[in-house]
Amino acid sequence: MDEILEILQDIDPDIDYETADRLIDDKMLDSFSIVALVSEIADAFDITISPKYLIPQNFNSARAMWDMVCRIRAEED
Amino acid sequence: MGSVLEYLERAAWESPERTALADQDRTFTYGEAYRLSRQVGAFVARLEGGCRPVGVWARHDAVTPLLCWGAAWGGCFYVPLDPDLPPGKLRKILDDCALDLILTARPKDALPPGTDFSGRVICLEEAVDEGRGEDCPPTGREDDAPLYMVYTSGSTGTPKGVLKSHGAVRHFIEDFAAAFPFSPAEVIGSQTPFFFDASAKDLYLTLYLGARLEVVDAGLFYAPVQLVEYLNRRRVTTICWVPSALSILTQLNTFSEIKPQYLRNVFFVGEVFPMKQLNRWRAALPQVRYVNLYGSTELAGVCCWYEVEGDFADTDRLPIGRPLGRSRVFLRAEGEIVTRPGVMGEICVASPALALCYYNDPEKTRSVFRREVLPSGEEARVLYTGDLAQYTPEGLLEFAARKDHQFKHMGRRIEAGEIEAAAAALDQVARCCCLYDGQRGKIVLFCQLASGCEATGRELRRALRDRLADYMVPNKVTILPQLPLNPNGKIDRPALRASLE
Repeated sequence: MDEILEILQDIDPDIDYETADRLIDDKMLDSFSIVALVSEIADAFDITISPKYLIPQNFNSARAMWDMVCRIRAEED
Repeated sequence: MGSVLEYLERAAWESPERTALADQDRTFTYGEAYRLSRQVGAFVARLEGGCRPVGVWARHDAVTPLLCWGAAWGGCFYVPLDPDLPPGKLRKILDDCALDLILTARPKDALPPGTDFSGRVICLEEAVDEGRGEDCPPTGREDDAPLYMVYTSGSTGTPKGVLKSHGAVRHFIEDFAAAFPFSPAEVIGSQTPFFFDASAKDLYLTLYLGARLEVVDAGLFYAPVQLVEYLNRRRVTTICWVPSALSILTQLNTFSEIKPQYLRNVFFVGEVFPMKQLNRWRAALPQVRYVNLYGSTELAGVCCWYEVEGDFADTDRLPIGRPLGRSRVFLRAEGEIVTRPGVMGEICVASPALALCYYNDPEKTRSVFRREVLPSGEEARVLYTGDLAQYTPEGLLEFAARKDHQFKHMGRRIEAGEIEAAAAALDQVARCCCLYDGQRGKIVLFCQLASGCEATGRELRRALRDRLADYMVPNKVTILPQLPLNPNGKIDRPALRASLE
């Protein structure tokens, strides 16, 4: 989870990711940032994020991203 | 040539039941689009009573084009406004063109608090109601009747309005349509926001062909699989997107999950398409036509095109190709015409599609649009684009760079000076310099603080958010004790650039 927060800080340091839970719905992250985000999360956790995971619900908060990472890990095992 | 609305008139006459506009929630047939936009036009004509700028609150939906055409039927020209602009910047635009009417798609659309606009804001339904039973003025026969004005980044921090005519748009659209095998069965998927100049291609190609414009919700670009599902469900055949939007699909490996089934034409414009991403598109969808387009805000549409053929390595550069239709494009360096391959020159364009002028700025207009004798011997108006290019040995044009400190970020042309002006206006900032890190796709701002001031890069960035459009806010603000200066006492941009490496 901390790693995700770090990646997010790098993309836009002005957002409080501990509390924000509408990152996509409120357009706090744009669609171009998602590309960077997806590749950094995939690198950091050494997972493949299949396109089917790329839906707003999985990116609205740091927690949602972390849950997605856990699901992908469970699937890959 | 007359009004571009003749396209709408013809399509509504020939096929009133065909769908002209669609988005996730609504559709409008040509018959409806004609009737509704004419009613808006009747209202606009009564209120404005002459050729005036009319604001259009440019949401990305199927209603916005009706508002644009409504303003045009009313004998006015429309000024599409970005609904996400901060109030300060919106204010500058409203002041610059002295708008007194803004048309909106939805009843509850309101200007952001603090905009201080004394004119009327009216939605489609109300405008249609008010215009019911009245007639529009006859459309102009003059080629140079203004159709729309878009605002672009200006180096002084004040956005510049570029005004384009019906004739310019028609000349471009008819050349463009003649260059490719389009049909009325085309479904054009619109990604480019309507307040962005490149969207005029989508709007008027659709009308000219009597085709369908499918307005793609920006939210879908967060969910690439759903985006392609949408393109398939709506049978989109043609897209003209900025490379950054196209790249989202390949960078997210979307085509491993789902592919567009009906897509035949992929045009891209506004910035250089990273070859690696283009190659991934071509590998996934080899049957599609890929065309690189080059244009400038100072002309309607584009003036060069290159249909991608043969193999390109990921490190190769894609040409912008050859002049489109009646455009004449040549390179000039130090007053001389450049024809030798590999020699850099400024791209100059003579074309019936050139913009009319910069709004209320005759000086700038004269310096960019110059009347001169062409290589062919005739006299014409020539646009100096400020873009540098060279010829390949095959005689194709290849884009190289901007002449000044402009750059392209997410398909938008941005003047570094505009960001610098906004930053310099902050009390804490003594000097600053904005550079574009093209490698990482980031806007970087270097700041030297005013003496006695303390601020973090993060605080400055937050302050800039209130003063700049979203896409212009620097991705990174670096504070330096002192900005490096060159021997003339000017900020040493090359030294700062080197520090980005």
